[in-house]
Amino acid sequence: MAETKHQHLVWELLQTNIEAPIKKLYKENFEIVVASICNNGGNRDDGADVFQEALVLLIEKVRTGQFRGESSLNTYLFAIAKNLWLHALRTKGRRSKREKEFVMNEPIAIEPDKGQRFNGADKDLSHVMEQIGSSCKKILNGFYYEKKSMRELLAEFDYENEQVLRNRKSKCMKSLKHLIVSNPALHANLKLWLSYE
Amino acid sequence: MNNELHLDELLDETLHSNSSAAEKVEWLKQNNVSNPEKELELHETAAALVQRYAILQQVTKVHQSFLSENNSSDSAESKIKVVRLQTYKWIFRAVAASILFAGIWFAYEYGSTSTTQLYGNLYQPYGLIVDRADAAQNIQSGLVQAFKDKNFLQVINIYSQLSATSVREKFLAAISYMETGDNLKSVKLLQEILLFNQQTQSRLYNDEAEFYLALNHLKLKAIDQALPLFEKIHKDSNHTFHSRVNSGTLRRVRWLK
Repeated sequence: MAETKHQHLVWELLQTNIEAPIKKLYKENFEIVVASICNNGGNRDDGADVFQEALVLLIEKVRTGQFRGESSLNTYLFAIAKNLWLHALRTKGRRSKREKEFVMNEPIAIEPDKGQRFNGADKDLSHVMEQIGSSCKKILNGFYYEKKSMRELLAEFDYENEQVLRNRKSKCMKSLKHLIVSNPALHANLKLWLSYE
Repeated sequence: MNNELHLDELLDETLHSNSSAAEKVEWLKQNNVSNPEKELELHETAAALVQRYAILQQVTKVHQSFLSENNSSDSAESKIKVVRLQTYKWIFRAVAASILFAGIWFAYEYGSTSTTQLYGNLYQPYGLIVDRADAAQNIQSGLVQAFKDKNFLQVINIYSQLSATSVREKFLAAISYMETGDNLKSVKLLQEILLFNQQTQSRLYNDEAEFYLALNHLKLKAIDQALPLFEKIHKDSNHTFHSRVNSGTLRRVRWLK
Protein backbone atom coordinates (compact mmCIF):
# COMPACT_ATOMS: atom_id res chain seq x y z
CA MET A 1 0.00 0.00 0.00
CA ALA A 2 2.80 2.39 1.03
CA GLU A 3 4.85 1.20 -1.94
CA THR A 4 1.97 1.95 -4.32
CA LYS A 5 1.50 5.40 -2.82
CA HIS A 6 5.24 6.06 -3.15
CA GLN A 7 5.30 4.91 -6.79
CA HIS A 8 2.28 7.04 -7.55
CA LEU A 9 3.99 10.08 -6.08
CA VAL A 10 7.07 9.46 -8.23
CA TRP A 11 4.81 9.14 -11.28
CA GLU A 12 3.06 12.40 -10.39
CA LEU A 13 6.44 14.17 -10.18
CA LEU A 14 7.21 13.08 -13.72
CA GLN A 15 4.18 14.93 -15.06
CA THR A 16 4.17 18.52 -16.33
CA ASN A 17 2.01 19.97 -13.59
CA ILE A 18 3.58 18.84 -10.34
CA GLU A 19 1.87 21.14 -7.85
CA ALA A 20 -0.23 18.36 -6.31
CA PRO A 21 2.72 16.06 -5.44
CA ILE A 22 4.71 19.08 -4.26
CA LYS A 23 1.87 19.90 -1.85
CA LYS A 24 1.87 16.32 -0.58
CA LEU A 25 5.61 16.45 0.02
CA TYR A 26 5.23 19.75 1.85
CA LYS A 27 2.48 18.38 4.08
CA GLU A 28 4.39 15.22 4.92
CA ASN A 29 7.88 16.60 5.36
CA PHE A 30 8.02 20.34 5.85
CA GLU A 31 7.60 20.42 9.63
CA ILE A 32 9.96 17.48 10.17
CA VAL A 33 12.72 19.10 8.13
CA VAL A 34 12.18 22.53 9.69
CA ALA A 35 12.20 21.03 13.20
CA SER A 36 15.43 19.23 12.39
CA ILE A 37 17.06 22.44 11.15
CA CYS A 38 15.79 24.31 14.23
CA ASN A 39 17.32 21.62 16.45
CA ASN A 40 20.64 22.00 14.70
CA GLY A 41 21.40 25.67 14.93
CA GLY A 42 18.92 27.10 12.44
CA ASN A 43 15.61 28.88 12.60
CA ARG A 44 12.30 28.40 10.80
CA ASP A 45 13.31 30.67 7.92
CA ASP A 46 16.48 28.64 7.41
CA GLY A 47 14.41 25.48 7.53
CA ALA A 48 11.90 26.79 4.97
CA ASP A 49 14.68 27.84 2.56
CA VAL A 50 16.50 24.55 2.91
CA PHE A 51 13.29 22.58 2.40
CA GLN A 52 12.43 24.48 -0.77
CA GLU A 53 15.91 23.96 -2.21
CA ALA A 54 15.91 20.28 -1.22
CA LEU A 55 12.56 19.72 -2.87
CA VAL A 56 13.74 21.26 -6.16
CA LEU A 57 16.76 18.97 -6.10
CA LEU A 58 14.61 15.94 -5.32
CA ILE A 59 12.26 16.66 -8.21
CA GLU A 60 15.17 17.11 -10.59
CA LYS A 61 16.60 13.78 -9.49
CA VAL A 62 13.26 12.09 -10.06
CA ARG A 63 12.77 13.69 -13.46
CA THR A 64 16.31 12.91 -14.65
CA GLY A 65 16.07 9.30 -13.48
CA GLN A 66 18.80 9.71 -10.86
CA PHE A 67 16.36 8.79 -8.10
CA ARG A 68 16.18 5.02 -8.34
CA GLY A 69 13.68 4.37 -5.57
CA GLU A 70 16.20 2.71 -3.25
CA SER A 71 14.75 4.70 -0.38
CA SER A 72 11.45 6.50 0.07
CA LEU A 73 11.02 9.98 -1.35
CA ASN A 74 10.59 11.32 2.17
CA THR A 75 13.84 9.76 3.38
CA TYR A 76 15.67 11.00 0.32
CA LEU A 77 14.27 14.49 0.71
CA PHE A 78 15.30 14.55 4.37
CA ALA A 79 18.83 13.46 3.46
CA ILE A 80 19.16 16.16 0.81
CA ALA A 81 17.89 18.78 3.26
CA LYS A 82 20.46 17.64 5.83
CA ASN A 83 23.24 17.93 3.30
CA LEU A 84 22.11 21.40 2.29
CA TRP A 85 22.03 22.51 5.90
CA LEU A 86 25.46 21.03 6.61
CA HIS A 87 26.81 22.95 3.68
CA ALA A 88 25.14 26.13 4.92
CA LEU A 89 26.64 25.59 8.38
CA ARG A 90 30.08 25.14 6.91
CA THR A 91 29.66 28.22 4.79
CA LYS A 92 28.70 30.21 7.84
CA GLY A 93 31.72 28.81 9.67
CA ARG A 94 29.57 27.30 12.35
CA ARG A 95 30.83 23.77 12.17
CA SER A 96 30.60 22.29 15.59
CA LYS A 97 30.17 19.15 17.57
CA ARG A 98 26.49 19.36 16.80
CA GLU A 99 27.24 19.21 13.11
CA LYS A 100 29.43 16.14 13.56
CA GLU A 101 26.60 14.39 15.37
CA PHE A 102 24.29 15.45 12.58
CA VAL A 103 26.57 13.76 10.01
CA MET A 104 26.76 10.60 12.08
CA ASN A 105 22.98 10.28 11.98
CA GLU A 106 22.88 10.51 8.19
CA PRO A 107 20.19 8.09 7.01
CA ILE A 108 21.50 7.51 3.50
CA ALA A 109 24.81 8.25 1.89
CA ILE A 110 24.92 11.40 -0.16
CA GLU A 111 28.05 13.47 -0.26
CA PRO A 112 27.38 16.52 1.91
CA ASP A 113 29.41 18.84 -0.30
CA LYS A 114 27.18 18.25 -3.25
CA GLY A 115 24.25 19.94 -1.64
CA GLN A 116 23.81 23.63 -1.76
CA ARG A 117 26.39 24.49 -4.33
CA PHE A 118 23.64 26.10 -6.34
CA ASN A 119 22.24 28.14 -3.53
CA GLY A 120 21.75 31.72 -4.57
CA ALA A 121 21.67 30.79 -8.24
CA ASP A 122 17.89 30.56 -8.27
CA LYS A 123 17.42 34.32 -8.30
CA ASP A 124 19.89 34.72 -11.16
CA LEU A 125 18.21 31.87 -12.95
CA SER A 126 14.79 33.49 -12.68
CA HIS A 127 16.25 36.81 -13.76
CA VAL A 128 17.76 35.26 -16.88
CA MET A 129 14.49 33.58 -17.80
CA GLU A 130 12.65 36.86 -17.39
CA GLN A 131 15.15 38.54 -19.71
CA ILE A 132 14.52 36.23 -22.66
CA GLY A 133 10.87 37.34 -22.79
CA SER A 134 7.58 35.56 -22.22
CA SER A 135 7.35 34.15 -25.73
CA CYS A 136 10.76 32.50 -25.56
CA LYS A 137 10.04 31.34 -22.04
CA LYS A 138 6.89 29.54 -23.19
CA ILE A 139 8.56 27.94 -26.20
CA LEU A 140 11.59 26.71 -24.31
CA ASN A 141 9.45 25.55 -21.40
CA GLY A 142 7.19 23.63 -23.77
CA PHE A 143 10.10 22.03 -25.55
CA TYR A 144 12.56 21.27 -22.75
CA TYR A 145 10.34 20.89 -19.69
CA GLU A 146 7.03 19.69 -21.08
CA LYS A 147 8.87 17.65 -23.73
CA LYS A 148 6.42 18.64 -26.43
CA SER A 149 7.16 18.16 -30.09
CA MET A 150 7.37 21.12 -32.43
CA ARG A 151 4.04 20.07 -33.94
CA GLU A 152 2.38 20.14 -30.53
CA LEU A 153 3.91 23.50 -29.77
CA LEU A 154 2.82 24.93 -33.11
CA ALA A 155 -0.80 24.34 -32.07
CA GLU A 156 -0.26 26.56 -29.04
CA PHE A 157 1.52 29.44 -30.75
CA ASP A 158 0.56 31.80 -33.53
CA TYR A 159 3.36 30.99 -35.99
CA GLU A 160 2.96 30.48 -39.74
CA ASN A 161 4.49 27.05 -39.78
CA GLU A 162 6.74 24.64 -37.89
CA GLN A 163 9.89 25.95 -39.58
CA VAL A 164 9.27 29.46 -38.27
CA LEU A 165 8.74 28.07 -34.79
CA ARG A 166 11.97 26.05 -35.05
CA ASN A 167 13.86 29.20 -36.01
CA ARG A 168 12.26 31.07 -33.16
CA LYS A 169 13.14 28.36 -30.67
CA SER A 170 16.72 28.32 -31.95
CA LYS A 171 17.01 32.09 -31.46
CA CYS A 172 15.54 31.82 -27.99
CA MET A 173 18.20 29.26 -27.05
CA LYS A 174 20.89 31.48 -28.50
CA SER A 175 19.76 34.44 -26.37
CA LEU A 176 19.53 32.24 -23.31
CA LYS A 177 23.04 30.91 -23.88
CA HIS A 178 24.30 34.42 -24.37
CA LEU A 179 22.80 35.49 -21.05
CA ILE A 180 24.32 32.48 -19.31
CA VAL A 181 27.77 33.13 -20.70
CA SER A 182 27.55 36.80 -19.77
CA ASN A 183 26.85 35.78 -16.16
CA PRO A 184 29.94 33.73 -15.18
CA ALA A 185 28.74 33.15 -11.62
CA LEU A 186 25.45 31.72 -12.82
CA HIS A 187 27.21 29.71 -15.47
CA ALA A 188 29.58 28.20 -12.94
CA ASN A 189 26.72 27.37 -10.61
CA LEU A 190 24.73 25.77 -13.39
CA LYS A 191 27.67 23.65 -14.45
CA LEU A 192 28.03 22.40 -10.91
CA TRP A 193 24.33 21.79 -10.79
CA LEU A 194 24.58 19.63 -13.88
CA SER A 195 27.35 17.62 -12.26
CA TYR A 196 25.26 17.03 -9.12
CA GLU A 197 24.88 13.31 -8.68
CA MET B 1 18.30 25.54 -43.00
CA ASN B 2 20.61 28.11 -41.43
CA ASN B 3 23.67 27.07 -39.46
CA GLU B 4 22.33 28.17 -36.09
CA LEU B 5 19.14 26.19 -36.46
CA HIS B 6 21.06 23.16 -37.66
CA LEU B 7 23.43 23.33 -34.71
CA ASP B 8 20.51 23.78 -32.31
CA GLU B 9 18.78 20.71 -33.67
CA LEU B 10 21.96 18.64 -33.58
CA LEU B 11 22.47 19.60 -29.96
CA ASP B 12 18.84 18.81 -29.12
CA GLU B 13 19.38 15.37 -30.54
CA THR B 14 22.24 14.79 -28.11
CA LEU B 15 19.91 15.58 -25.22
CA HIS B 16 17.74 12.60 -26.11
CA SER B 17 20.71 10.31 -26.63
CA ASN B 18 21.97 7.81 -24.07
CA SER B 19 25.52 8.09 -25.40
CA SER B 20 28.40 9.23 -23.24
CA ALA B 21 29.64 12.81 -23.34
CA ALA B 22 32.67 11.71 -25.37
CA GLU B 23 30.47 9.91 -27.88
CA LYS B 24 28.25 12.94 -28.20
CA VAL B 25 31.23 15.18 -28.81
CA GLU B 26 32.54 12.76 -31.42
CA TRP B 27 29.16 12.68 -33.11
CA LEU B 28 29.02 16.48 -33.20
CA LYS B 29 32.52 16.57 -34.69
CA GLN B 30 31.37 14.21 -37.42
CA ASN B 31 28.59 16.69 -38.12
CA ASN B 32 31.12 19.49 -38.56
CA VAL B 33 30.32 21.29 -35.31
CA SER B 34 33.22 23.47 -34.29
CA ASN B 35 34.18 23.50 -30.62
CA PRO B 36 31.72 20.67 -29.84
CA GLU B 37 32.66 20.32 -26.14
CA LYS B 38 31.80 23.93 -25.41
CA GLU B 39 28.62 23.85 -27.52
CA LEU B 40 27.42 20.67 -25.86
CA GLU B 41 28.11 21.92 -22.35
CA LEU B 42 26.36 25.21 -22.96
CA HIS B 43 23.37 23.60 -24.61
CA GLU B 44 22.92 21.11 -21.76
CA THR B 45 23.27 23.93 -19.26
CA ALA B 46 20.66 26.05 -20.99
CA ALA B 47 18.18 23.16 -21.28
CA ALA B 48 18.72 22.26 -17.63
CA LEU B 49 18.17 25.88 -16.66
CA VAL B 50 14.80 25.88 -18.42
CA GLN B 51 13.77 22.69 -16.63
CA ARG B 52 14.90 23.93 -13.26
CA TYR B 53 13.08 27.19 -13.78
CA ALA B 54 9.81 25.35 -14.44
CA ILE B 55 10.24 23.21 -11.34
CA LEU B 56 11.28 26.20 -9.26
CA GLN B 57 8.21 28.16 -10.36
CA GLN B 58 5.86 25.44 -9.16
CA VAL B 59 7.75 24.75 -5.96
CA THR B 60 7.86 28.47 -5.14
CA LYS B 61 4.13 28.81 -5.74
CA VAL B 62 3.31 25.93 -3.39
CA HIS B 63 5.96 27.11 -0.93
CA GLN B 64 4.45 30.57 -0.63
CA SER B 65 0.87 29.35 -0.36
CA PHE B 66 1.92 26.67 2.16
CA LEU B 67 3.74 29.21 4.30
CA SER B 68 0.92 31.73 4.22
CA GLU B 69 -1.66 29.04 5.08
CA ASN B 70 0.53 27.73 7.86
CA ASN B 71 1.30 31.17 9.22
CA SER B 72 -2.37 32.03 9.60
CA SER B 73 -3.48 28.68 10.98
CA ASP B 74 -0.34 28.10 12.96
CA SER B 75 -0.03 31.51 14.53
CA ALA B 76 -2.66 30.76 17.16
CA GLU B 77 -1.60 27.15 17.39
CA SER B 78 2.06 28.04 17.70
CA LYS B 79 1.24 30.51 20.47
CA ILE B 80 -0.58 27.74 22.31
CA LYS B 81 2.37 25.46 21.66
CA VAL B 82 4.75 28.06 23.02
CA VAL B 83 2.61 28.46 26.13
CA ARG B 84 2.40 24.68 26.49
CA LEU B 85 6.13 24.32 26.03
CA GLN B 86 6.74 27.08 28.56
CA THR B 87 4.43 25.33 31.03
CA TYR B 88 6.07 21.97 30.41
CA LYS B 89 9.46 23.62 30.77
CA TRP B 90 8.56 24.92 34.22
CA ILE B 91 7.06 21.58 35.23
CA PHE B 92 10.21 19.79 34.10
CA ARG B 93 12.33 22.32 35.95
CA ALA B 94 10.28 21.86 39.12
CA VAL B 95 10.50 18.07 38.85
CA ALA B 96 14.23 18.25 38.15
CA ALA B 97 14.72 20.58 41.12
CA SER B 98 12.70 18.24 43.37
CA ILE B 99 14.76 15.27 42.25
CA LEU B 100 17.93 17.25 42.80
CA PHE B 101 16.88 18.34 46.29
CA ALA B 102 15.80 14.78 47.13
CA GLY B 103 19.16 13.54 45.91
CA ILE B 104 21.04 16.13 47.94
CA TRP B 105 18.93 15.36 51.01
CA PHE B 106 19.49 11.63 50.59
CA ALA B 107 23.22 12.12 50.07
CA TYR B 108 23.36 14.35 53.17
CA GLU B 109 21.32 11.95 55.28
CA TYR B 110 23.29 8.95 54.11
CA GLY B 111 26.63 10.66 54.45
CA SER B 112 25.93 12.23 57.80
CA THR B 113 24.37 9.22 59.49
CA SER B 114 26.64 7.76 62.15
CA THR B 115 26.00 5.82 65.33
CA THR B 116 27.02 8.83 67.44
CA GLN B 117 24.82 11.23 65.48
CA LEU B 118 21.82 8.88 65.51
CA TYR B 119 22.34 8.11 69.19
CA GLY B 120 22.33 11.84 69.89
CA ASN B 121 19.07 12.26 67.97
CA LEU B 122 17.30 9.37 69.71
CA TYR B 123 18.65 9.76 73.22
CA GLN B 124 16.41 11.24 75.83
CA PRO B 125 17.45 11.34 79.51
CA TYR B 126 15.40 9.25 81.80
CA GLY B 127 13.78 11.28 84.56
CA LEU B 128 11.86 10.25 87.63
CA ILE B 129 8.94 12.63 87.27
CA VAL B 130 6.50 10.47 89.12
CA ASP B 131 7.64 8.31 91.96
CA ARG B 132 6.76 4.93 90.64
CA ALA B 133 8.21 3.20 93.64
CA ASP B 134 6.40 0.22 94.79
CA ALA B 135 6.34 0.18 98.53
CA ALA B 136 6.34 -3.55 98.43
CA GLN B 137 9.74 -3.54 96.71
CA ASN B 138 11.42 -1.67 99.56
CA ILE B 139 13.30 0.78 97.31
CA GLN B 140 16.54 2.23 98.56
CA SER B 141 15.49 5.89 98.97
CA GLY B 142 19.12 7.06 98.81
CA LEU B 143 19.51 5.53 95.35
CA VAL B 144 16.36 7.23 94.04
CA GLN B 145 17.37 10.56 95.49
CA ALA B 146 20.83 10.30 93.99
CA PHE B 147 19.23 9.51 90.61
CA LYS B 148 16.88 12.48 90.93
CA ASP B 149 19.95 14.59 91.71
CA LYS B 150 21.63 13.16 88.58
CA ASN B 151 24.42 11.89 90.78
CA PHE B 152 24.90 8.77 88.72
CA LEU B 153 28.17 7.70 90.31
CA GLN B 154 26.42 7.76 93.68
CA VAL B 155 23.61 5.64 92.24
CA ILE B 156 26.15 3.09 90.99
CA ASN B 157 27.93 3.14 94.34
CA ILE B 158 24.75 2.53 96.32
CA TYR B 159 23.57 -0.12 93.83
CA SER B 160 26.85 -2.03 94.03
CA GLN B 161 26.52 -2.29 97.81
CA LEU B 162 23.02 -3.77 97.69
CA SER B 163 22.80 -7.47 98.43
CA ALA B 164 19.41 -7.79 96.71
CA THR B 165 18.04 -5.49 94.03
CA SER B 166 14.61 -4.74 92.64
CA VAL B 167 13.81 -4.18 88.97
CA ARG B 168 13.55 -0.48 89.62
CA GLU B 169 16.95 -0.25 91.32
CA LYS B 170 18.45 -2.30 88.54
CA PHE B 171 16.94 -0.06 85.90
CA LEU B 172 18.11 3.16 87.57
CA ALA B 173 21.57 1.66 87.93
CA ALA B 174 21.54 0.66 84.24
CA ILE B 175 20.67 4.22 83.24
CA SER B 176 23.39 5.51 85.53
CA TYR B 177 25.95 3.23 83.91
CA MET B 178 24.78 4.50 80.57
CA GLU B 179 25.07 8.10 81.65
CA THR B 180 28.58 7.55 82.91
CA GLY B 181 29.64 5.85 79.66
CA ASP B 182 29.75 2.26 80.86
CA ASN B 183 27.43 0.94 78.21
CA LEU B 184 28.47 -2.70 78.58
CA LYS B 185 27.36 -2.81 82.24
CA SER B 186 24.21 -0.95 81.32
CA VAL B 187 23.47 -3.57 78.64
CA LYS B 188 23.99 -6.38 81.09
CA LEU B 189 21.52 -4.93 83.64
CA LEU B 190 18.88 -4.09 81.03
CA GLN B 191 19.11 -7.60 79.55
CA GLU B 192 18.61 -8.99 83.06
CA ILE B 193 15.43 -6.90 83.47
CA LEU B 194 14.05 -8.14 80.15
CA LEU B 195 14.88 -11.74 81.02
CA PHE B 196 13.27 -11.39 84.41
CA ASN B 197 10.10 -9.90 82.89
CA GLN B 198 10.00 -12.72 80.36
CA GLN B 199 10.28 -15.33 83.08
CA THR B 200 7.74 -13.72 85.41
CA GLN B 201 5.28 -12.53 82.75
CA SER B 202 5.88 -9.03 84.06
CA ARG B 203 6.27 -5.78 82.13
CA LEU B 204 7.87 -3.66 84.82
CA TYR B 205 10.24 -1.17 83.11
CA ASN B 206 10.06 -3.43 80.07
CA ASP B 207 9.50 -0.66 77.46
CA GLU B 208 12.19 1.49 79.06
CA ALA B 209 14.62 -1.42 79.18
CA GLU B 210 14.04 -2.19 75.47
CA PHE B 211 14.52 1.41 74.36
CA TYR B 212 17.64 2.09 76.40
CA LEU B 213 19.07 -1.30 75.56
CA ALA B 214 18.65 -0.44 71.86
CA LEU B 215 20.38 2.90 72.48
CA ASN B 216 23.26 1.16 74.28
CA HIS B 217 23.71 -1.27 71.39
CA LEU B 218 23.69 1.70 69.01
CA LYS B 219 26.36 3.44 71.04
CA LEU B 220 28.42 0.25 71.03
CA LYS B 221 27.91 0.01 67.22
CA ALA B 222 26.17 -3.35 67.71
CA ILE B 223 23.66 -2.58 64.94
CA ASP B 224 22.54 -6.20 64.53
CA GLN B 225 21.38 -6.15 68.18
CA ALA B 226 19.96 -2.64 68.09
CA LEU B 227 17.89 -3.00 64.90
CA PRO B 228 15.46 -5.76 66.09
CA LEU B 229 14.72 -3.74 69.23
CA PHE B 230 14.05 -0.54 67.26
CA GLU B 231 11.87 -2.52 64.81
CA LYS B 232 9.87 -3.99 67.70
CA ILE B 233 9.33 -0.51 69.22
CA HIS B 234 8.31 0.90 65.80
CA LYS B 235 5.77 -1.89 65.17
CA ASP B 236 4.18 -1.62 68.59
CA SER B 237 2.00 1.50 68.62
CA ASN B 238 1.38 1.03 72.36
CA HIS B 239 5.08 1.03 73.19
CA THR B 240 6.10 3.88 75.47
CA PHE B 241 8.83 4.93 73.04
CA HIS B 242 6.91 4.25 69.81
CA SER B 243 6.88 7.94 68.85
CA ARG B 244 10.67 8.09 69.17
CA VAL B 245 11.26 5.44 66.54
CA ASN B 246 9.80 6.22 63.11
CA SER B 247 10.48 4.66 59.71
CA GLY B 248 13.21 7.26 59.10
CA THR B 249 14.96 6.08 62.26
CA LEU B 250 14.83 2.47 61.09
CA ARG B 251 16.14 3.44 57.63
CA ARG B 252 19.08 5.29 59.12
CA VAL B 253 19.86 2.41 61.50
CA ARG B 254 19.85 0.04 58.49
CA TRP B 255 22.29 2.33 56.64
CA LEU B 256 24.71 1.80 59.53
CA LYS B 257 24.81 -1.96 59.00
